[in-house]
Amino acid sequence: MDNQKTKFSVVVTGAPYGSQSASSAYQFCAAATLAGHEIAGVFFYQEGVLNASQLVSPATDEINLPDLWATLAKQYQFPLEVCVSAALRRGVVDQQEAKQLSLAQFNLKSPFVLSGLGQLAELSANCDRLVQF
Amino acid sequence: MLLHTVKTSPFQTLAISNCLDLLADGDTLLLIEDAVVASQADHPLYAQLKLLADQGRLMVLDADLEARGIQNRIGTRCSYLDFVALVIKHQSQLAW
Repeated sequence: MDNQKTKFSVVVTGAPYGSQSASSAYQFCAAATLAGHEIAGVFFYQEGVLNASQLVSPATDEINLPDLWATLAKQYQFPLEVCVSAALRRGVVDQQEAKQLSLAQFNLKSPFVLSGLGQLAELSANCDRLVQF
Repeated sequence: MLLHTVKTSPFQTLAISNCLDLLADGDTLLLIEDAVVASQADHPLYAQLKLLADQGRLMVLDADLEARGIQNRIGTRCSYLDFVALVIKHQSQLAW
């Protein structure tokens, strides 16, 4: 299996700040794509949903994890799925949910999308290896 | 055959201890994030980890050792690319 292309799904449960989990997950995905493997998708759960906020604005000389995720996902064409119930609880909202909940703003960063645990089940079924951080 | 990844220090949580209790023959333990200190510091589980290291079943993430400015005394240093290969080599991963 070593020389073959492996399909990974990745679960991120840590916020971009305060824990290292999201950073570890990003570096794992970057290494996997660099080695020629495929990412089936990344699922953001629990505090991990905060990676999907477009309002995250670190100092310009620091890394911006949400930006890095978006760039990697666009480059290698994989989805960034965000658990909708975990996201709404933490104030990460897309345009449609904002409208439905009569909120004045939305802040879900593109190309992150809100989805449910069913999508995590699908990601885990459609990959060779599921890796959790 | 599982790849266990632990990310918390043995001075912080019981993750390494619990993981060692469940570690089966053929499983590998990869220390990442704060857990890398377990490959350097003296702690009650050090001897058990050393046994694992002697069997070539203890890996330590290089980047996280470097980030903390420490050297591992036991275990095999590995890169993120090695981490990817370890996940492929094992049937599945278990995150502690």
